[in-house]
Formats: sequence, structure tokens, C-alpha cells
Amino acid sequence: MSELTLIVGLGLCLFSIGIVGFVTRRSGLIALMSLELMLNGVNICLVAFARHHNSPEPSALVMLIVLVAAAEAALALALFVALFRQSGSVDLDDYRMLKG
Amino acid sequence: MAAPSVFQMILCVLALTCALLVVLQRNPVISAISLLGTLFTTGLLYFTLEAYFVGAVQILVYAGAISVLFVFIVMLLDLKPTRVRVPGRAPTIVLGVTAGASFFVLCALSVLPVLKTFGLLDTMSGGLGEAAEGPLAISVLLLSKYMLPFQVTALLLLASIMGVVVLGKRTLPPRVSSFEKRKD
Repeated sequence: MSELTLIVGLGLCLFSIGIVGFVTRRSGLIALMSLELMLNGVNICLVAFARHHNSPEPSALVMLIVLVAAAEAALALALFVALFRQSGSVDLDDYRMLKG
Repeated sequence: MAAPSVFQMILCVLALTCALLVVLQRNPVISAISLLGTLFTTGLLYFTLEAYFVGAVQILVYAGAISVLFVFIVMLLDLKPTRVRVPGRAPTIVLGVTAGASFFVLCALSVLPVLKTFGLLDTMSGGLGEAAEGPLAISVLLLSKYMLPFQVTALLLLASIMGVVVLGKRTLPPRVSSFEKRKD
């Protein structure tokens, strides 16, 4: 097993664990953490490819992904705090009025 | 490419364990701290891949700022550990595990053969030059080829700051809807 296979496999595993957590957990905060796990898995793959191809382009993409993840986490956490203040719950099952 | 070192394997196992804890733990505080562990070990893994700048950014921004924000919010909201079994959730759990497992299998089947051919073509014995991975190369790329995404990300950050301020200031009116009825 080469180094590249190990690292890309780790990224794949993190992304899959993120999918499972995002779909199965009811708490909105845990769903958000699973989303961060998925972004992290993508970053791991990008860094492995950057090393493999000896190119800085994936690293630039990693920078942009980290920025987007930071913005998303800050906004979503503020949203959950507002929802919690309004009705005392961050369970995604409690906010189903958009479902029709 | 060189065979992975023992240190890298240990880091991979640690990152996977922490990621599983994030999803499986019932207590949100432990989940948040496990997320910190995953992000930190990932940063260390970047160091072993000689991506020093990306590793430093990962530890500073991800492990230092984002996951600490998560821990802070979880402790602020004082969430209780979730109930283990909720009726009517079994289909969702089965669906989620199936989705994750099938994604993993499909990606592994499609990616790993390609990686093998990479390995045949690969002549690099390992180690990035300073030029390819340092902050200089990354910033030159960000300011030339990826100028538009870079500027759009700046706008996104500005918009999210404004959104957070608005959400934090306004107190929403209490909701009297289906949620209150469901609680009874």
C-alpha cells in the first residue's frame, strides 16, 4: 500500500462517516460537525494529490475550502443559537414546517 | 510514492477513531471535542506530507477557531445527551448507513485502480520542493489564477459576518405552532 492510497482512503472514510452522521443524527449541531468532517475528507484528498503531483494548485483550493467552511460554521451556529432561543431545541426533527 | 510511515498510520487510526466518535457519541460535548481531535490529527498528517503551510492553517483555523467555536456553542446551549431510541427513526438510520457505505464502496472501486496506475507512472521519490508547497506558490496562485474565487470568498465572509450580527441581535418572536403541540 502506498502513502497516496492510505491518505486518499482516509479522506474517503471521513467523507463516508460524515454522510452517515449527517443523515442519521437528529441534532443540528452534530449534523454540522458531520458536514465539517466531509469537508475535511475532501481537504485530505486534495493535500495528498498536491504532494503526489508536486503542484500548489490543490493547496490553493484547500485554502478556499477552509474559508468557506469557516463562514458556513459561523453562520450556521448563529442560526442554531437563534433557533434555540426561540423554541429551546436544535433537533432537526422539530423544524419540519417546510416539509408541507 | 513511498510506503506510509508508522507515524502516518497511527495518525490515520486516530483521525478515524475521533471521526467515529463524532457520529456515535450521544453527548454533544464529546462529539465536539472528538471533532477537534480529528481536525488536529489531520493537521499533523499534513505535516508528515510536507505540506507545512496547509498544516499550520488547518491547526490554526480549523482546530483553533472552528472546533473551539463548536465546543463553545455546545456548552452555551447546554444540550442534553440525545435519547438512544426514538420511534420512527429506524428507516432513516438504515438509509444513512446504506448511503455512506455505498458511497464508500463506489468511490473506492472507482478511485483505487486509478491510484495504482498513478503509482506506475510515478517517478517522484517523495518530498515536495519548497517552491511547490510553500506560502509563496499558494499565494501567487490565489492572486493570479484563482483571483475571482478568492474575491468571492472575501464577499462570502463579509456576508456571513453581517448575517451573524443580524441573527445575534434580533430576538425572534416565540413560535406557537406545531412544535408546541408535538411536545405535549
